[in-house]
Amino acid sequence: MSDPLSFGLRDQAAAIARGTLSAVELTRAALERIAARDGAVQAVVHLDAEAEARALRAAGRIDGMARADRPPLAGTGLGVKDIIDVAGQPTGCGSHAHPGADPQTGPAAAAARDAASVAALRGAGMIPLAKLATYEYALTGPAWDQPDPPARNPWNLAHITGGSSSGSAAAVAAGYLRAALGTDTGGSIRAPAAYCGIVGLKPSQGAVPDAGCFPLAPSLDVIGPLAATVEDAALVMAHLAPASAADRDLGRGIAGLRIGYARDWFAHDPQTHPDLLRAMDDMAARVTLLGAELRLVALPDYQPIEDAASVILQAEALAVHRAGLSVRFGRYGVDARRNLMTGAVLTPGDVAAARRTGARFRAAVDAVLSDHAAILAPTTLGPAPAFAAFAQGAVWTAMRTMPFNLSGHPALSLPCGLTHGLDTAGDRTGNTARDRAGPLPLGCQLIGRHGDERTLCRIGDALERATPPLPRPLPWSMP
Amino acid sequence: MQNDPGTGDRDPGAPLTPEAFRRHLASLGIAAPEADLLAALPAARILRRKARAAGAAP
Repeated sequence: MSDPLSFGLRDQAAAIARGTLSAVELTRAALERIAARDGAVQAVVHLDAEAEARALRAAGRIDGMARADRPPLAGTGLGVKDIIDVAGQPTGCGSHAHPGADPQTGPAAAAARDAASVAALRGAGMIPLAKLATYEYALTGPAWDQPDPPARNPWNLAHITGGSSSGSAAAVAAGYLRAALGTDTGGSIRAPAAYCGIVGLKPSQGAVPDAGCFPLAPSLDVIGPLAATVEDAALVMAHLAPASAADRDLGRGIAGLRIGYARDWFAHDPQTHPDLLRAMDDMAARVTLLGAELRLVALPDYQPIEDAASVILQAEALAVHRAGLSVRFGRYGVDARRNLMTGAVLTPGDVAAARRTGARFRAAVDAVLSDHAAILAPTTLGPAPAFAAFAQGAVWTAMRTMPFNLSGHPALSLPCGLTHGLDTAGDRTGNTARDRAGPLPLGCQLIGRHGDERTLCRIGDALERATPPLPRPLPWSMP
Repeated sequence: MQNDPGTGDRDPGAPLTPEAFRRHLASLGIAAPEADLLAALPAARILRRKARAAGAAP
């Protein structure tokens, strides 16, 4: 293999199984790629010599196994968002407030054991390589008062990756790894995947064990993969939650399925980027070209659903951090602590009402999905904003993600196109004339029935194969 | 999530004042500096409006 990192997880593992590639070679290639590029991308927050040696030893053990004994993803690399424990590596949560993470008292302590999700993937043969950047406590960003600087978008280093799984998206988009773990509480897997031109799968609520992952809002949180392709994401999901059988129907096509298109949910929103609307309509056309039936479907008004999800998120996040804020207030980043404080104005009645709204929304989506295999909608309403915009104050990044954390439905984000350089949304996204010279990725999402990641990945795989691949996302001069 | 109704503003339609916001936080054991309190106040007001809108959603 000339560039083993350019092959999918299935092909990497197959080459290792055949003996045409060694796990040590693959691991070394990933470490060299990280060393060459991460000075610019800033996706990695922890990868020291000991962690590198540990990864190479794990690869060596795989190479030493009898071929028949090698697990299905043997020797493939894995990145892990830095709120998820990896045995032997610190979990910093992107915060000076995290116990042990204060620079005056030394680095955060190494985790004693893998999180359940990491353990599942290690059992499938994946090798955790690097801890990856996160917005502070998976909450808000980008921010410059965290222990590490924000990850940068490989498509244009002047732009954000989105978050909070910022490093996971950047690491995959920059070609270090085929897959990384992230978490999604309001869009934190799907939005950075869309902004960075990769795939992000938010599993059904409760599908993936969360032990060993620091919570943001426990009733909304879910761990899932960010990956280079739908197949890579499906393979990881199939090992995170074997009951999902997420990889079982890849390559089957979608002829005969009925898919809903929630066009009215975003097309008339003034925040919708014109190139996004074109890309979404193109994706809808592919559904019919592939032999599926496309129907326009109506979902409940968006804003009250997002409001309800925000209420629950802020209430639960404050409950998680209440004790920390009471004793370490000043060690939280400015944006994170001010965001957390807002939850104090909510009452239990507010939260109960928000949950009732969520239940009604879930029922409405279930009703649509009772005679549709999935719903097509955008992930974000435009491309990644420029960092420069955040220096002038808060930036609203319009999305369509939070409602499905509230309803618990699985959702798969995949690339659907690019912006065409100069555009009318420049001022809204904070792009400067110079930034606008290059295209940026746009993402759509498929929402599926509870527990049916299998069909979701089947549809996403078919649409991905029918969509022109994005060019290599490295417009900057890098090895 | 806990909130002490005795320390906050009881009328949900009334504007959230800095004093009420401070009492909400104090009831949770959080002593926020004035600068943080004032900076977070607009977002707290928006969140309260969101709570009302979410609760009134059909």
